Amino acid sequence: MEGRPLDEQELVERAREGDARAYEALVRRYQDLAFRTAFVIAGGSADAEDAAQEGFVKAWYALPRFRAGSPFRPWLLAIVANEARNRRRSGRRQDDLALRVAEDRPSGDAAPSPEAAALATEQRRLLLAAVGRLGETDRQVIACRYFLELSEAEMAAALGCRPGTVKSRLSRALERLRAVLAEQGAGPLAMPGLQGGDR
Amino acid sequence: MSQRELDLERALADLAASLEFPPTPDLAAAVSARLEQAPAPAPARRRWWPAGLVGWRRLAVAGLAAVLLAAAVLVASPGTREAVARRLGLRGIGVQIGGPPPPTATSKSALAARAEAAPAITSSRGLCELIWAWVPT
Repeated sequence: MEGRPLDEQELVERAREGDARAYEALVRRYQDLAFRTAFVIAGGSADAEDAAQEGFVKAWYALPRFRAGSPFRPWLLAIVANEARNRRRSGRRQDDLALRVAEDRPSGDAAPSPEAAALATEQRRLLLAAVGRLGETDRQVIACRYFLELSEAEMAAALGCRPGTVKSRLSRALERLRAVLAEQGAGPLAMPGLQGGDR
Repeated sequence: MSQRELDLERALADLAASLEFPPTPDLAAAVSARLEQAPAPAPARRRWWPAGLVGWRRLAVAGLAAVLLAAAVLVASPGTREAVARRLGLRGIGVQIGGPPPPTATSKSALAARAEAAPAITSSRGLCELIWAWVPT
């Protein structure tokens, strides 16, 4: 390869022509995203690793059918997410979102006090727990949008639905999240908007 | 979007920033190792249609090309044209240039007789009179 790093389209074109090194560069570029997407859908680290790896291998063999010039990320995510869904269906179901909230470590003058930091961490834990109490579809759409920061097209590909339905699905999920927060008494949460009622 | 929705979205974004995903395994190495043992896929075929032309559009372009090709063959070959016209019952009058015409029949039809008997059209009233003269009585 030349000194200049190749952009995504060049890498995809080379990979489509059978260049395994170009494909390896693509895998390296997207392995975080693929693994995390598979993790959100499959619900476990081992399943996510298997799904992402299998997804990348299948994508390699499907590359000749990839339409040149179209975006690569949604196409790849659709394959990986499909693998993750298959594993989730066939394996043991893990119904909570197996994610952790990192502790706030205040530092510097502008940092909040240790008490405020602890409160913020606790609020995030409560919010994550509320997300975990949602149904599978709601949990996945919220995770794809906010935790993985996927675009609408990528969300549609990962969730296996039409792009037009992503917005409404997300809106319903947020409504239900608000209801769960109200139900679990999120009153102590200082974050505005997290309580169920209108203001 | 209401303030309530914005606040919830902001809280979720704040949560996302502090989430800990499990560390990503080295998928690139694992995938490369698997691909080395497996056969390479057939390289992508070069396509004759422009990129981005998909589904029904591709079909429409192929159909139009087929129609144009058929039309070109029809125009280029008189034999084909004749066969198609015969098949569709569209044959017209053939004009052949040859010797002197055969003698005409001596008996005049009733229409020819009436045409001869009609007065000559000499004025600008012409067309109306001509039509009137030909109307059966």
